[in-house]
Amino acid sequence: MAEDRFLLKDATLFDAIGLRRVDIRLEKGVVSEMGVGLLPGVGEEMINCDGLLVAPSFIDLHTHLREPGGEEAETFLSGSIAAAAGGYCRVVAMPNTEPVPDSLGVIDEIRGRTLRLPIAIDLAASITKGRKGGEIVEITELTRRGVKVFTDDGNGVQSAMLMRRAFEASAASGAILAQHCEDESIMSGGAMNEGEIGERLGLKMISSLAETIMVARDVELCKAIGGRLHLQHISTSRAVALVSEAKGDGAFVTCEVTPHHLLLDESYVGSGKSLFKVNPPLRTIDDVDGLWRGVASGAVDVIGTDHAPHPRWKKDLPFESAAFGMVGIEESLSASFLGARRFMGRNPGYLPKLSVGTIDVEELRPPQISVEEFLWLLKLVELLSLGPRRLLRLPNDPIAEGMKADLVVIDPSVKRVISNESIWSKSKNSPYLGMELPLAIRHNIVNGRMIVRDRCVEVERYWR
Amino acid sequence: MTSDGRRLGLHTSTKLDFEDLVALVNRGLELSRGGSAKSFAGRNVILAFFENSTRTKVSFEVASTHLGMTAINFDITGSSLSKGESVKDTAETLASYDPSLFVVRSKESGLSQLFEDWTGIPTINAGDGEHEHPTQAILDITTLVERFGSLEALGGLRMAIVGDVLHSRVARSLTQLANLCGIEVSFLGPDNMMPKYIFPNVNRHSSFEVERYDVLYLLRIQRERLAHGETLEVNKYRSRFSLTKERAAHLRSEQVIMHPGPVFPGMEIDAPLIDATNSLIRRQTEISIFARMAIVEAVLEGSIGG
Ligand SMILES: [Zn+2]
Repeated sequence: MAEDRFLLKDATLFDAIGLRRVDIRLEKGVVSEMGVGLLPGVGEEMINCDGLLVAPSFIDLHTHLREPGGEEAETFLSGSIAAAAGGYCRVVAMPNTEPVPDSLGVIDEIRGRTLRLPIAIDLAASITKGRKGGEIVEITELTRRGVKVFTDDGNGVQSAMLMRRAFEASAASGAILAQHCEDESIMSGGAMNEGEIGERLGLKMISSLAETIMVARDVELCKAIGGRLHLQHISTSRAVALVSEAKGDGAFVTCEVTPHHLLLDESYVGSGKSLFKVNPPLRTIDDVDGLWRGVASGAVDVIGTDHAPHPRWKKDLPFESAAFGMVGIEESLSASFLGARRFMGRNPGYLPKLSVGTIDVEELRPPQISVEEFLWLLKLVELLSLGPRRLLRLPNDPIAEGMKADLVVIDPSVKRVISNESIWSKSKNSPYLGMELPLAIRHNIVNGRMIVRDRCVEVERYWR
Repeated sequence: MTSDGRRLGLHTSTKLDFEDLVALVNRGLELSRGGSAKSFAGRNVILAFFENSTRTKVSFEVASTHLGMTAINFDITGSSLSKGESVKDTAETLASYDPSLFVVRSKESGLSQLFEDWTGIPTINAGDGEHEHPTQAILDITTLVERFGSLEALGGLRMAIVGDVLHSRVARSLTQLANLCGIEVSFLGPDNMMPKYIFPNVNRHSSFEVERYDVLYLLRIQRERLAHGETLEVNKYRSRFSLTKERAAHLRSEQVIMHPGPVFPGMEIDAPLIDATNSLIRRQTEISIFARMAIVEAVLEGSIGG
């Protein structure tokens, strides 16, 4: 298939270098020229990016694609279409599948199914065989064969001794140990956050200690042994504090937060709607603010979606019987940005610290949003786009001539109401159904191909 | 209430205000004294019980029959709910029989509300998980008003709710309504049976001095409801919180004993006390019919809801 040729005109580009106004020419999928005042060549499509924000396409460290074994909810194809619509060019697929990718044989077999998709898929391997928590996988060997992330997600590794072994292997191999932080002995079958709302609804509850105990344990193990620890879907202010402290001590600890924990708090569960059932549970508004302070300070490294598709029959149930999890990879930027706006409303004047220079923010700001909102938007792009690349040690940031183009074009002027029809994912268990969310992914160019054009995934063109 | 402003069923006592309660109690008492019932002849009520409760079901059955309705029993107990696929389908199938009302009881919190959300048909919560049991609380208040003469007379009464308050849907609903009436509620029971977050202003008493209360409301001790890791020593419980013959020896004549049933004689209360002159336990069962008639009338006429 012929590669597309584009000229992105008047883009406001944000990457590891910082913020700047630039035209970007793409030829044969590669950035061929960057500069100001470029003229379109013959046969080149000009994309007007005036007022739009361009960044390296997003990368998700935490996606449940359900294949193999859970194709009723999502497949590699349907999930990567949803991810593309959300602005992603690559996701790390969680290993709670059937079979579990815990050996080279299984991983090679599953990898065979991930070629020729809209976006790139990295398979995470499990930390323990079959995710059963009993025996550790061959971390060093699998790392040599290209596995970067190891996790038992869906569950945390309960045994400190096993985690000790895993950290030893991580220290030797550079493998990232991604932990679903939940001590099951204190979680005790709960369904929502422990507190007044959960007790009033008569639901079994999950203490925030289930998270913080495991965070504290793994931070200690990481400090003592070395290796790389990545804490998944942190949901409590206390966990953010533990991460900040660990970073201050120089430990190789990173963490992610989800868009839904940045936007929604436990009061949403008051409706009794199972769409708001997720693990870790939606927490208190103080926890939400704690996560935002962690985002602002740099304690939080990435936004991971924990996109968790479920068929309707697993969600059309009373709260306690319903499955944990929500889809959301399509709305991660929008939901997070709405969360930022609400946080700004509660904490006027509180601004994020960006890791790159922001001298031109005032001048380059899209007209529809304020300077403060723009700073938060850039911070979110940092966590969706730049943070994951740093963590996975991937190139393509900053955007430069000669690189394969993975570029997302964000439209700050749009608002959308989320509906079943607007969701590309095979499953519709979105907490945002009926909500109006700001911003949209206008275009997404992945590996040089424009697979999202004017907010529409070009499924017919490439994959049907 | 629905998003379009219609009032539908009754799911939680938190949505009732004092005026709702006055109307329900007065109407229930009027019916109990032989007042004529409204007729909803030709209309159906489906009693969808996902958890066994003969007494509550019979009470609703009789109440709706007195109102001229046809009560259709639909029992699905045990495992069918946990399998799950069919709960919404079940609700939709039952709705296709065009009932005017659902009465739903379930082991899980929130099912009556879901029934109503799924079908748009008014639904009365006959007990959902550890959440609420509002019709029980209404009949309890009705029974108290009959005994003490008026709703106003309940103001200032001291009520002990004794037992596993944390896991009791009855206690939650009753406390809510008792607060509306100005009754001063105290919770009594072991620490691990006390709510940690809700009703922060309700007294917690760790010893059962019966003379301190006007109303002794005993809860059934549901050992199976206790979460993993919590143990209950029967003898220890009995010595601290049961209404034993010894404890009841000096009851004043105006003090009353209540229990939502079914009673577990010899556990939370000694058997002979069930029929003592102080006891309203039998009367609660009798009144339940009239209180539920009043509730069904009100829901069908759209005059309460929440
Ligand atoms: Zn997880």
